[in-house]
Amino acid sequence: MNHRIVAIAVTAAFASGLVVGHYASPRELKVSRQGFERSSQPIAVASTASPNLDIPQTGSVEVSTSSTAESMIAAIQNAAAHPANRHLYAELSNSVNALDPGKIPPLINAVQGVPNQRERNIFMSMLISRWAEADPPAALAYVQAKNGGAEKNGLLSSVVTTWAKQNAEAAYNWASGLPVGQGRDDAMQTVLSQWAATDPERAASAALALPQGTIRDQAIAELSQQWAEKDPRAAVVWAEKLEAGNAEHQILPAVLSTWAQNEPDAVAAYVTSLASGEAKDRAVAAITRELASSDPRTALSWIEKLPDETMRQGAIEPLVSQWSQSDPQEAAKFALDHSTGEVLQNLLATISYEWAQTDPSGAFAWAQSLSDATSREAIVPGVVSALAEENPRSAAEMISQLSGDTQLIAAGSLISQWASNDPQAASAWAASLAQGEARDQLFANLVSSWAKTDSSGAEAWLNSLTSDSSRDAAVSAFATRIASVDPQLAVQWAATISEPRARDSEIEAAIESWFEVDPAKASAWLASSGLPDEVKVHFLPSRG
Amino acid sequence: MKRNRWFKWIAAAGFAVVLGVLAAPGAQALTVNAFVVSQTCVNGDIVSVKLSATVQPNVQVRYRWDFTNNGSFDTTANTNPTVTRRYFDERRITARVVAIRPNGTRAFDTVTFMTRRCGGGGG
Repeated sequence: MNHRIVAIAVTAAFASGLVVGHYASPRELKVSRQGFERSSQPIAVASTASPNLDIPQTGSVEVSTSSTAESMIAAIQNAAAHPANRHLYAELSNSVNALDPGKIPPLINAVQGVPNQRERNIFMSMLISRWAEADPPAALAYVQAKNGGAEKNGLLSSVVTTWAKQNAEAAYNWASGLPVGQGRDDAMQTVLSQWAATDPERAASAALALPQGTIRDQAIAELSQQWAEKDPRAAVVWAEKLEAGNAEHQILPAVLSTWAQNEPDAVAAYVTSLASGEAKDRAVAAITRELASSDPRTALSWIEKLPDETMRQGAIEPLVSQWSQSDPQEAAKFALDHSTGEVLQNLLATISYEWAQTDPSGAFAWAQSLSDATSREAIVPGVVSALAEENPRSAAEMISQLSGDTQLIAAGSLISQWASNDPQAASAWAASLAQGEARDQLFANLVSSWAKTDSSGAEAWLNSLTSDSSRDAAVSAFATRIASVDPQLAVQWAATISEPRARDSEIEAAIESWFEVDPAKASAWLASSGLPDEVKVHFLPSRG
Repeated sequence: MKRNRWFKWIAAAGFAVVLGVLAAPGAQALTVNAFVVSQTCVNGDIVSVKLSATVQPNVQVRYRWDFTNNGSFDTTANTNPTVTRRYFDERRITARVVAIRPNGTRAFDTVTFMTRRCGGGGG
């Protein structure tokens, strides 16, 4: 036994030694050379390429700042052969930055031979950016001549970024001339982002001149944020002008939100000075949301410092809404501790809505635990509806745990939603419930929703039902729903209701509708119908 | 032939993108469904009717009700969709609801129902 343990220990030690030795000893480089040799494009380009375009066999290479094409190619190859060596990449980057732009085209051709796409993209991006510094149109022309794809888009972005840093207006003019589409949108966003860093006012004017749409909105949002970080007061002056122009309502709140992250007190003083109205409300809400997205307590202390009670009240809902996204339990605790009446109901609705988006079961358990019955009745059905959108069967399970009006409201919500997406499944669930007034009402709600989108499907389902109070309720609802568009069919269906008084009532209502639409036809049908004489007398003499 | 195949793929991809956009919650049109929750006889020929509504997609809205569909909303905008209203019994009633999103988008629906018979009286 001891011998065996010793043998295992020795073997393990030997194996460890092999591993340590393998990783600690200098190694020969093989992989990259093979990679280059396998590449479809020759690595040696132009007349400068030596037959021995060697991958150096050490982990480092000397690259002078006055690099020749050959030494750069060697440096690139070396960096490609040592993808984990950040030092080599840094050296290469420095060398590329010191490179004579005229030497770049042959280097780009050489880089085409790098087999690893990610590395190839890195090297290409370095070279293209350097080229764009010296001659943007030439670099652009080169990239645009390439076949489309992610690689081309990446290079295009490199060129445009470099160009926009140097001469944003020229880059903007070029991007403006591109055909409408994703390429133009991408280029425009890149240009405006760079321009905002150097001249936000002109970048903002350029962004505002873009056609209405997502790209314009994104560009404005991004640059207004950049500007507000750099010079919030200037950004506010610009945003105020737009707000006064009554067209750009989202910019001032966005600028103030960014400013508030650095100078919350100054922003509080600023919004207090605004005239009461929608602009002020929007600003307070946006700032609150922004602060609460980082830390609800910071947002709360900001709100508490606001001098105006109306402003403080207006800030509570955005605070709770944002807070609910990160910590709905704490948000709920805050709402219950700090509000009452309709304000509380609205806050609880907000919390349950946000909570149910990510955790319907948790939201349901919380909503059910609310001590106030009115709150439960208002909140629980909304949570069930959120779940019903994705999983109506689970929502039906939830409803089975409820009681009273809360259950009726939740069931009504579910059946209305379900009927518009999968009426067969909804009808099967409704039919599975115990007979009674609640089921009767659900049948009525089901067929009413169903008939909105598929009247013949609803009819087929009605035909499948056996006579009882639920069928009567469903038929009554169906007749009511179709009476204005097909009163004759409504009358025919109403005549099948089993409970005499309800039947007469529905028939009379349907005939009433029919007389409004087509009195001659209604009279003729009624006269020859098998309806009781008192019904005929009720309608015919007066209509005659 | 090969080109045709590409066109088919491109068309299919385009269609998929359109479907994706339409399926996105933000892009889906707001609809509201009004419904009757319950009817309770109060006294004599008065019925208390509880009405509610639900929206699709499930977004945060406020509701207003016009209890008689006369074009005038009878409630203020409220996050709670459920309301209670008293009517005479055995009447055909149409109530209208509007769901209003924070961005102002609105959706409407009506619910028509017969109020129940109470106390054996006739309407």
